[in-house]
Amino acid sequence: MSGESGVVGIVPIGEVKQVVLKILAANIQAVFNIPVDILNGRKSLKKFFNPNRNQYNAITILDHMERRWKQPHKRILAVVSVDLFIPILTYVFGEAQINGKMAVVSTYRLNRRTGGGNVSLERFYERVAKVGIHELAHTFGLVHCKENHCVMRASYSLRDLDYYPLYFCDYCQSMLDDVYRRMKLRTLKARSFEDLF
Amino acid sequence: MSAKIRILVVDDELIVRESLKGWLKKGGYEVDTAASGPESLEMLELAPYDLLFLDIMMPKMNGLEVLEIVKKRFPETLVVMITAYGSVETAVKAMKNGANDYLMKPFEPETLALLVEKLLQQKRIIDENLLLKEQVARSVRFENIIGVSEEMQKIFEMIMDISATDVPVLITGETGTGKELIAKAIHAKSPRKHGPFIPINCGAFPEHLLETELFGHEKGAFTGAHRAKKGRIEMSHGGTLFLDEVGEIPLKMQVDLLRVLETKSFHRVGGTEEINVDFRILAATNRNLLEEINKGNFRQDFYYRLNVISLHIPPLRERPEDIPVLAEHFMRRYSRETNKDIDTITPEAMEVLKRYPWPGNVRELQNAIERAVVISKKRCLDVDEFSFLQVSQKGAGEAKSLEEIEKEHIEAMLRAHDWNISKTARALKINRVTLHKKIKKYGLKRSGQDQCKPDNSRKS
Ligand SMILES: [Zn+2]
Ligand SMILES: [Zn+2]
Repeated sequence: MSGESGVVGIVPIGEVKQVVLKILAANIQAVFNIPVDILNGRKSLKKFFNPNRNQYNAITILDHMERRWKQPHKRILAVVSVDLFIPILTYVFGEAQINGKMAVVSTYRLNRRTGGGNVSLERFYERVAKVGIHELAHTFGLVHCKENHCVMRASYSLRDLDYYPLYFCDYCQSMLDDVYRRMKLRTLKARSFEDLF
Repeated sequence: MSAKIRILVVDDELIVRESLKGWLKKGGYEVDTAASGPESLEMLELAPYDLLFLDIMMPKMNGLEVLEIVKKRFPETLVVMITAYGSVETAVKAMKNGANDYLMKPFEPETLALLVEKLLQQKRIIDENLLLKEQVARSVRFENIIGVSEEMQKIFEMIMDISATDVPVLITGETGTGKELIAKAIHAKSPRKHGPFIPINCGAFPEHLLETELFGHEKGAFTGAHRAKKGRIEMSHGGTLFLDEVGEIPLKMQVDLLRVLETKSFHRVGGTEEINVDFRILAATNRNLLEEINKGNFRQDFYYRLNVISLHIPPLRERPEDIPVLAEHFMRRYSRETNKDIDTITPEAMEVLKRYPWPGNVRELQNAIERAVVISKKRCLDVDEFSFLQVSQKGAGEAKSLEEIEKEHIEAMLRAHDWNISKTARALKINRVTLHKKIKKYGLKRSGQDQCKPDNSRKS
């Protein structure tokens, strides 16, 4: 990789496997067509723990990152392996500041199989990528899409999540292109995925 | 219906407001927040919302109190109560009081998503029904004439009956009852509908001008007649000639017109050529023509010629059930024209409108609504916006001097006739000089602004 920094920085907080970060980065780079870096994150999540709910507050994480982060990246996607919530909801797969800079994805629930047990690793990575892409797209101002074949379709269950694809529909894609143009972002033409590994 | 769904989140806890707002915004909804009941009501005054998330436990004004007001004043907004664990009973009570649903904090993501979807679906159906209702309401409209009263329904029927024929119709009714609209409707429903509708206000011209206006003139017919000009009679060929304020036509000209009606031909002023015309005649007056005949001001033969069929429009005060539909019609029209979001007249304000005697009839009501829309800064027209009507509406039981009553009556009549002195004088059956004297005596002034708020100095 060149010395220039990517547009999106992926940041683990707490214990997150490197392979998850790499697969996520590769998928984001492929779908968003913008350069992605994997950055060093924070070790402890203690600050965001809510003992009443026995979960971690996603909004506090985003607020904290927004205040602290000095990286040149235009967008930051945090990755955690703990269970996240927002005050009004019992749990979330991820959270994002719409039209903001910060997003977070939790891998905590994404390996579960409906009816018990775990899904295959492959399916798990796919889900992490979908939630990551979806939340990151919110920071670019994209809202939920009515299209069935679109990653911006709102999904509130793992069943929904598995049903929707990993890519944007034409409409959301063109919305995203507009945002890139406004931001004067350099997109990747053809950058090999292997660059990241 | 605006394309974007608008949602208002009302909660005293910032964290709830912000996280619910954030979640809803991702759905592409337009979301605002309010930190208290009173704040939310203020926001509802200013703009319509499709959906309201309303916290039950709030200081100052709790969710149930807010709900009650919302249901009364903004019934088109759906309400979801937000409750904390352990206050389900209150939520159930809220449902009984008209809340559409409730949610217990924290919500399951899927529950919230499904609930929002369900309610917005419901809202769409409500909006469609409203639209439908409006369309039904439109059927009380007949060629731009609006009325649900039995009297007006009879008039609509009559218009249908008399349109097919070519008989003259004399339309009577007080000023502002919409006589010209009725005439237009008769024309529009008649076989002559593709021909011209030519109205002339006979009271608006001095005698010599009325003559050339009606009959036209040849070049050089009089000083200043540089070229020939068609009169209204000639212009109405193939269509309908509408003589408004026909009682104002001088006696001599009544003879001329009678001749035209009998022979279907005339000649221009200063001309000799007979011009044949084919038109239907409609006439209107706010005078009692029979009385005028007795006084020798109107020719009996001309009267019978015009009054083959008579159609009387009752004054608005005799059909108060028409006031709400008319008021709402004008409200919609003027809020559209002024680009304001006004969509209701409060029941209290409607009561004021229904009780007011409307000496200037529909036109006065129209002017009043226009004025109210212009001065209103809210989404609804309330009693305040009609304070200019209350001057002449003091309690009937209140002791008043005759002078006071006269002053108020003159003022109301002036307003009803847009301060047209001749018309007002005629309506009051006094001459213009007398009217001017009275205006001076009572210090009556035409000032749009003074009339928008009750003028304390006027109180005796
Ligand atoms: Zn989303
Ligand atoms: Zn889409």
